[in-house]
Amino acid sequence: MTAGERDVRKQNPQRVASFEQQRTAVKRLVEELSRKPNKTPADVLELEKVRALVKHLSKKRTEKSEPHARRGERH
Amino acid sequence: MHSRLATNSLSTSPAARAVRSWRGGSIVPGRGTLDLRVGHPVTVVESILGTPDEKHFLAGHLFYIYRSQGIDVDFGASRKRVERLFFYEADVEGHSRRAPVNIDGIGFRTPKTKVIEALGKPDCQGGPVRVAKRKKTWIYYASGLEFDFDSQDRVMIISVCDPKLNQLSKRC
Repeated sequence: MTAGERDVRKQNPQRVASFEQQRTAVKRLVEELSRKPNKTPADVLELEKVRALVKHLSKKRTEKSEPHARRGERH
Repeated sequence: MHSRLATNSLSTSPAARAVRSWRGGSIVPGRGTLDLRVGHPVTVVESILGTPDEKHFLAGHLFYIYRSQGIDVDFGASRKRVERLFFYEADVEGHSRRAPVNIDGIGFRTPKTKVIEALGKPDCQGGPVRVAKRKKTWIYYASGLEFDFDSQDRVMIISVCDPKLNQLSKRC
């Protein structure tokens, strides 16, 4: 690894896999709720909640890890 | 974006204020009950059920919530006419009283097997999904009738809609 590469932001593969797993489970719930023909107000609220959760997990999944510590960096 | 409106201060028609507890009745699939029907305007619903406990705008739909009568009314995106009627068992999704309705002897807490025995194989079914801290499954008949079941497979919500509203080919 060169000095330049040390600073590159990376993704933690375990974290990515975990978010992907959660996202798949929640997406399945979105699909199941969307299929329901007559949605009660509680169903609609739940659907909005899980849709927001899918969006959040998708964002978290693609988020990069913190940069590596940069020793001797001039401020 | 949705909002919750307090309805205490809203003006209502004299008929809406004077209404007594709804007597209920037998459900006709795709239509509703004898007096409370899919397609009714807001004023008629208010004259039958009274002022709602809450009004909600959810996903573009207007919902009237009658917690003490075990009924929700969905006026759809038009917000003018009834699109769906929901009848609840007591203590389900925030409703304190069971709606006084039944269909062909099927009422609340009837087992799923008995519903299917009486009405035949459903055209669509799904679940389990977790809603309002309860796991539920559902079955839907193309005639515009839906049953939601609790974790013990007993009826807890009955809903009626115009069959034209739900195109099954897209869903099932």
